[in-house]
Amino acid sequence: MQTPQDEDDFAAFVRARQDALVRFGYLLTGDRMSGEDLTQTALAKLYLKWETIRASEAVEAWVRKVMVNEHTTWWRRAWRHRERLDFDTAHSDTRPGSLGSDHGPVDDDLWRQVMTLPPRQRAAVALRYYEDLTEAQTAEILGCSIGTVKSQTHRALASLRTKLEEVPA
Amino acid sequence: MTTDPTNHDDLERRLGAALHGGLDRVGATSDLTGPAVARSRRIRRNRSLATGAVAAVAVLAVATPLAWSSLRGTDEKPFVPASSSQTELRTSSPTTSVPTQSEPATSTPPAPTSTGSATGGTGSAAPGTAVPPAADAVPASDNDAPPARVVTVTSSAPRGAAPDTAWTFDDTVTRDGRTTTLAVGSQWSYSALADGRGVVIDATWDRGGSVRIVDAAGRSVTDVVAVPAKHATQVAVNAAGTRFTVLVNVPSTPGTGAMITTFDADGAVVASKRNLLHAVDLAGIVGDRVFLGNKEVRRSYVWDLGTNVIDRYTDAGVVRAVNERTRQAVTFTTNADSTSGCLSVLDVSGDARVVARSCGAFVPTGFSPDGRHLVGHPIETDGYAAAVTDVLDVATGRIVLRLKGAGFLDTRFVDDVTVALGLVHQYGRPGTVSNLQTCTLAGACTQFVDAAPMSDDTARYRLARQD
Repeated sequence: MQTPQDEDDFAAFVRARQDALVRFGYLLTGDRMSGEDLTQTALAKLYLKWETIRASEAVEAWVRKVMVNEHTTWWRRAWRHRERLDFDTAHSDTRPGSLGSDHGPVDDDLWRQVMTLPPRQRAAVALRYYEDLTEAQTAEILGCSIGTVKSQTHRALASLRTKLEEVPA
Repeated sequence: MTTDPTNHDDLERRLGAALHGGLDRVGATSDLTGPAVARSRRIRRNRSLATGAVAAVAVLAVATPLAWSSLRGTDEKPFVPASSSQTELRTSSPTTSVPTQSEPATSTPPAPTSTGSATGGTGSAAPGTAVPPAADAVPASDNDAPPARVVTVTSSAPRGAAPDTAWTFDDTVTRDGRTTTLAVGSQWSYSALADGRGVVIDATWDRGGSVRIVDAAGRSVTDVVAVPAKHATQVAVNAAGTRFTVLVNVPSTPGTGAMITTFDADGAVVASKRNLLHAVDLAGIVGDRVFLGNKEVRRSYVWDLGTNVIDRYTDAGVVRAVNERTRQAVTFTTNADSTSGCLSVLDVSGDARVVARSCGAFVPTGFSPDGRHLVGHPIETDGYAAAVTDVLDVATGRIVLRLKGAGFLDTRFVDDVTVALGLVHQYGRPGTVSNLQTCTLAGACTQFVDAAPMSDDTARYRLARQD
């Protein structure tokens, strides 16, 4: 950071976007604290390159891309599976943002199934259906081709569709 | 309102609603500006330390040949100094390269290539550079070519003989045809030691627990490491089953670090290190050396148990697995787009010479006993249970066998030509079962246990670790 103005601009960006980024991290990791930690790491890297990145006018996309890269490299750990299962168990009753009554139990299942998707599929789904990004934008963040985004999303939807068919009415 | 989840548009609409419903009230627990700035300073400090150390040696590396050249006269061409990566390799020393928090390792975090790679660093393979510079002399084969053989693994494989390996089912372990009940609370991972002993991670993610040695009767002999809650734990055993290493990683908690300890089969400490950076993975043991990888900064380390020093090991990627019998290690470096990478097989008996390379989507996870094959999975099949397992011929760098199934939890060679598989079938569906099978390189698969329903989405059969 060169100037106090840069510091202020960085802080303003963080305060404006940190919740959205933590939500994205939460979706990537399946764990709220891990999601926040992932966000913090990406923001730290942004801080180091703030003057360059802010000029690109794609600051948030850059941060999300860092988060995806970090997640695919840093967070592959032996406990990953157990962590996700424990999340399902521990948070299923206290998950924030309960759905409306007309969706209630079915969408709760849908949410739970989303959290069982492989990380890259979950990331693709999050970017496409939560962030409402285009396939091209999603591909840019995930660092892959549009075709890969399509296939990841298709596989995710197919998987969810299959799992939902098994949910008793 | 009745909805049809099989309708594509409706599913997509409901997916958006479910995601918003589940996430809209999630947010940061506090202002992240301060923590992010503090973390950035730590990253920058780490880079500065490492860059300074490397720069000093790089100056020496350049200055020496130039001075030598000037002494020999101006008509001779000066030495071309070693490549930056080779220079960096020479710089590694116990005092500068140990990935501790007090003396941090070099840091070249992955960053988006579209807006520039990370600054600093020490001249190692930059993010997005798949080919490890130190391995350039060995041509890389392409493992993206179609596999020589593709086999679909189903839950109805014919019954076959059990391989010479150990496996667990709930709280029991079967070894050498004998099944015993483990006197532990929550068996997460069992690794076979010599004389019928085993080392068990008796812990859960939420509550923690301990790593303990159990005897041949399954009784707990001793607790060797306490595992706090939410600390990732890994165990590696040497080929003879006489030593094991326990790595307890800390999930990004400032002021604390990973702990790694090697024990003998009785639980006596051989060597121990504390305050490592958290992002380290345990690749395995070869003699008196333990190999570690750090995917974040794309580094490999070797821990000498005799001197108790951890040092940088190779620039040829992040070490993933070792073969103590054949003195081999395999490293892997991921491309920036995370869709492919390159593996290098190293001879660890000498100077970490690269003996084979292959590039593509194959991610290695283990060797065959004779070192001629690697088992792994395509890089895209991340997740709980990878749907594809590949076997790669080290000599040719080609995929010789591809196993496709609902989900592979554990995959490893049990002899030179047979892969054992821990499987889940129809993962996510009610009534999902898991079992254990073996598949030969010729593609013949048999199951050696009866399929059992999964419990709480967890496969009850697991192959024991038997490095």
